[in-house]
Amino acid sequence: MTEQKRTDLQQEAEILARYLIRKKPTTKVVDLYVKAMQTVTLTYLPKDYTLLKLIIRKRFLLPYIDAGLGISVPNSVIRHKLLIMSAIVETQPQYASLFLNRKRSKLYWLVVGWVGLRSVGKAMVGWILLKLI
Amino acid sequence: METINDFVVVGSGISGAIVAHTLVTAGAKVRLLEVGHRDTTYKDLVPDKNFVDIRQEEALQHEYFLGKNFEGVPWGDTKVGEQLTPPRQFITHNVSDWLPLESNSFAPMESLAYGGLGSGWGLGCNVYRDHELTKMGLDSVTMQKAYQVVGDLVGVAATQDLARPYTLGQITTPYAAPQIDLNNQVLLNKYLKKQPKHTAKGFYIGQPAIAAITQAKGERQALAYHNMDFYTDQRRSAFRPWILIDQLKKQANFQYQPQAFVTAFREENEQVWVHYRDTNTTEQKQVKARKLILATGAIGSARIVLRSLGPDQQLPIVCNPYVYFACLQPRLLGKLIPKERTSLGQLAMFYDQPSQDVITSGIYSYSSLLLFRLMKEAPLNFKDARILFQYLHSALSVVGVHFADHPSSQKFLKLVANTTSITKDQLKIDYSLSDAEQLIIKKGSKKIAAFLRSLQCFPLKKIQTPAGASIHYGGTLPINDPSSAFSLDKQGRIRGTQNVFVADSAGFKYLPSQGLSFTIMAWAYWVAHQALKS
Ligand SMILES: Cc1cc2nc3c(=O)[nH]c(=O)nc-3n(C[C@H](O)[C@H](O)[C@H](O)COP(=O)(O)OP(=O)(O)OC[C@H]3O[C@@H](n4cnc5c(N)ncnc54)[C@H](O)[C@@H]3O)c2cc1C
Repeated sequence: MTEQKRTDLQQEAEILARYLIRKKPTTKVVDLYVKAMQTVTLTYLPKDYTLLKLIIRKRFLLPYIDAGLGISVPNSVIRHKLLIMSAIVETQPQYASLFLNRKRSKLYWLVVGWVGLRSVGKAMVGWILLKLI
Repeated sequence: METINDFVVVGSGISGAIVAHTLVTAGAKVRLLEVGHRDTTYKDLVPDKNFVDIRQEEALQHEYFLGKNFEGVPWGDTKVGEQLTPPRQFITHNVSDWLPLESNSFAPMESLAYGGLGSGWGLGCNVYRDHELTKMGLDSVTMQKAYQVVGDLVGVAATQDLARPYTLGQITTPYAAPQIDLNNQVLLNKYLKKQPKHTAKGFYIGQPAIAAITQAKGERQALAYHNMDFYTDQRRSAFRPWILIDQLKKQANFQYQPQAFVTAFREENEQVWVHYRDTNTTEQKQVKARKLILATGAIGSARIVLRSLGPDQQLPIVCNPYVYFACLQPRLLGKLIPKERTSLGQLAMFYDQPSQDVITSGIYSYSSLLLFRLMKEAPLNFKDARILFQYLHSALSVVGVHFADHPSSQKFLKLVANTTSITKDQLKIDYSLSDAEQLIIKKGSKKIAAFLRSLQCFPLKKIQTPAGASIHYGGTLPINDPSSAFSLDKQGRIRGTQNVFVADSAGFKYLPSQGLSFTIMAWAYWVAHQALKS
């Protein structure tokens, strides 16, 4: 792998992990992601290259693109990459609390309701965005 | 000079292990041939700790949860074997090379592993009732005795409850059933509150009988509530066929020969020649035996028999249709579930209507599988999906529903030529359900879903699996069935041969919906006895 390719993948790893866990990922997470990208076979659809470039340049679009793809092209490479990054962070002890079962108050329903609504909103914006790109 | 073995047994799965054990214990000289792939990658990596502790403490957990090559992160269309965790994926290693298959309608899971499919089976044990055994071609009196013998040998944990007639029946066991987790206790309590009403409708819920020990015995330790059952067998509490083979290897009258892929057999002068290929070199070799016992799984044995006796014939096949539901129990939302639990089947549910086949459901908690697998399935963005599933996790369960299967002219297999395969052939399977069978599945699924809802366990999604996905196969060499090209007699001997027996489920011409493997063990014990006697 060329140095440039490695740097690109490291940058991609940081963007995806920050989006998922709202923190700078550890070097181990980045390294595992780079390894995964060399190991796993990814099937690119024509639009995937454009989307990937867009996400790198304009990170704030990632949540919308992810949500839009979730309802329109769930098999896109972006979603595959996000799945791999989710799996990597889920299996790091320092991020385990973000995934493991925990006790929640009854009012947590409000949070869940809000997250549900938010995700529908993101999906709608994402869907329109994907039509425009 | 070639020595003659008393017995050659092929296969170290559930059936092969029981056959070999029965023969060796009786003093016979036994040689066991098989391919015997093993897990050499993950075996020593998984710590003997609780799932939650591992998740919070272990830096190397990604290796066994995701796989060293990320083989535990599935993507795209579901593939055979994908449900196995990375430490279990060796079970299907090399199968596509050595056991090639052509089918648009059937996707079986086969194994060339040490311990066969039993290296990853879910441990659910069921006895069949007399009328079911008779329909399968088995003798109920002998099978009841055999059930007790194999139950004592492998160790089965069970309880006396409403499900008992369908789980262990009259078979006794010293092992108490494992504790149920909170989710399923809540479900069971709800059921028990109105139990007479539910039983009147034909619904019976109780604990499954599990082939695992809940008190230490010999080198096997009691079941630990570590919730790591899908990843490791360190304590040997769960019965895996290789545990028996490991023990047999210490006996002078037992010889274990891996890397031997058996292709065919031929009888000559009251002896059997067993042809095999060395899997390292693909070189063809043969051994001689007084008696041969095939235990290569119902599909594997069909391959060997067709190649040996009539490659142009076709044989029947049966396989339990299987659907599963992802369910939510709202009462458990936001609850902290105690981490001491098992990932094994928590509850078993039987829907029994007069003059109809029983429908069997197994209820599991989604407790030791990782969230990313669920996140992938949801049409949501990954970030919000994590938050939602972290909350839903405690309340999720999976209900797997099995239906009985009967033979029909639309379910058969045959060997066809394939010049590129190692054996120059491949198996072709055609399997389709009649409209009437599909209706039974549709109506049965609806009934189960409605009943679950009445217990406040809400099915969110029904997943219809492709034929073959239940991993319960039988009927390829039906017992006492003259209409089939090849069949077995009551002793398990292939009709038309003198000294070749089949000890796996190939003989079961009908499959009730309850798991078949405990019956495979009992049948294997019986066949070994008959082979010894004859
Ligand atoms: C994940 C999972 C969960 C399951 N859960 C349950 C459950 O809870 N309850 C239940 O009743 N059943 C369950 N099953 C099904 C159960 O595992 C099988 O019914 C059982 O293991 C079949 O055993 P067998 O000995 O007939 O065949 P196999 O396990 O297929 O063994 C075949 C053996 O033969 C060898 N072999 C095959 N072909 C050749 C050849 N040509 N030459 C040499 N060797 C060969 C293989 O190496 C292997 O050792 C489950 C299966 C899986 C995978």
